Amino acid sequence: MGFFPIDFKKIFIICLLVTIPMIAINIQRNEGELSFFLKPFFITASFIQSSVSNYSDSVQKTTSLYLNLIDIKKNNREMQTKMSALEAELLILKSLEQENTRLTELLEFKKTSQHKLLGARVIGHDLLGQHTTLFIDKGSKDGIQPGQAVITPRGVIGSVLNTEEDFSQVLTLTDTYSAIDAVVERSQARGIVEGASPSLCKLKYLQRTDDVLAGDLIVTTGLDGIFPKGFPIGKVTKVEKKDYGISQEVQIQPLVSTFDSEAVFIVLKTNDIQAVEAKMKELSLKD
Amino acid sequence: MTEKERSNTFLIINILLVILVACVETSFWYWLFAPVPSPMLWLSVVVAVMLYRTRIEGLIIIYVPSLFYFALSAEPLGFILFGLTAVYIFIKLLKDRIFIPSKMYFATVYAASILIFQIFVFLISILTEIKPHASPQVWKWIAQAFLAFIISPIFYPILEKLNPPDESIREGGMS
Repeated sequence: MGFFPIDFKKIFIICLLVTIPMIAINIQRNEGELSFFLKPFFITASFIQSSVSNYSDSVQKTTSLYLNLIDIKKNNREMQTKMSALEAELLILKSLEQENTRLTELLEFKKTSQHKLLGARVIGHDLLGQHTTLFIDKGSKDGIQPGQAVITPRGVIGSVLNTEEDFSQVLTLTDTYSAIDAVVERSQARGIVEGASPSLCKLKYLQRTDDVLAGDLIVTTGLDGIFPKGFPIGKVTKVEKKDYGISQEVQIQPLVSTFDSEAVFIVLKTNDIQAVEAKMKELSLKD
Repeated sequence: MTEKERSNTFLIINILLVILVACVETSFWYWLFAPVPSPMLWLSVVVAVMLYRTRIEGLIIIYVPSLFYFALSAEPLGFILFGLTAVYIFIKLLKDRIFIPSKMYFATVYAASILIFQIFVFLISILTEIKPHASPQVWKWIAQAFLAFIISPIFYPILEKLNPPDESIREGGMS
């Protein structure tokens, strides 16, 4: 028996083990289409995830409450009980004020937006880390469909990848599978924003002569019929022009971090769709 | 309860545990520690079963919960299975040569399994996808493996209790 003994039975089992995943790779994941046998797994996962998310929320609140209590105890040793109680009350009021400001901001955004929006809470992130997807607590029963835009008042988050009755999976703009039609706001140079890493994107297919500088704001075109027109995506951090080639590569820092997003909006219906449809109709009539 | 029934019960508990841990990891970890990468806690349960249970149980723990991982990630199912199969083969080869049931051994294998899983998933993405993973997130993988190595002794006793070594392992020879 050597250090690496050759056992054909083992080699056969290993080959078999490698073949099964290779076959599974060929089964493509289509947007919005799930095999019937996968549905129960999605639904069960969603149920457990929602429960855990609710539980984690409670734990978070309990932890912060406990920390506040420790603070109060410390202060009690130094100051009067009444003073500590007031400070604790002030802390709670401050957190309520912050929450109030955040919710008012969200409400204002929803009110002023010309599009039909649906608010949702982020309940989870991608398990494996190679992709950057989010899970939200609204699904097909709330009118969500694959391909709809997901935004926050500060900028684009991504688009809906899959929906189930009670939850949906969102593909964020930093994911390599993501592609968004975009323009440089200042020069109107057009390209496609694609995910590059968990926190960065790239603006691709810009022509070499297109005017783009570090600090430029990148916004959506609205022509894809998914995202509202002129909605901010991110800021240019680096422009790379190689010695050869007809295009240039632009690095973008998204305005919204997917890690910080607790609440998002799904664009159920964008008015730009009608504009795009009208334009298409006009063009087809001309032809 | 017979040995077989006991073994099956432990396997079912492990499957439920791995699904629960995966769900916890997708929400709980991010609320508390984001943007620190999660140490793939679910993989610790998988590694424990592969290390301390039979080959068949090791295969079951790959294939059954994978459908849940698939529901919790944008990663294609085939990639997940491929990555886990690579981990399975690595553990099998290692176990045949070196096997020291201890906290340190488990922590090392668990950390190495994270690296193997991530590298193989990345490689298969590069080889088969039109839009593959952009670049290897080497530092993130190392951070995950390091975190796994540090925190695994905390839950090792639970995994050890849930995975009493298989008879063949106790006798010192792997089948």
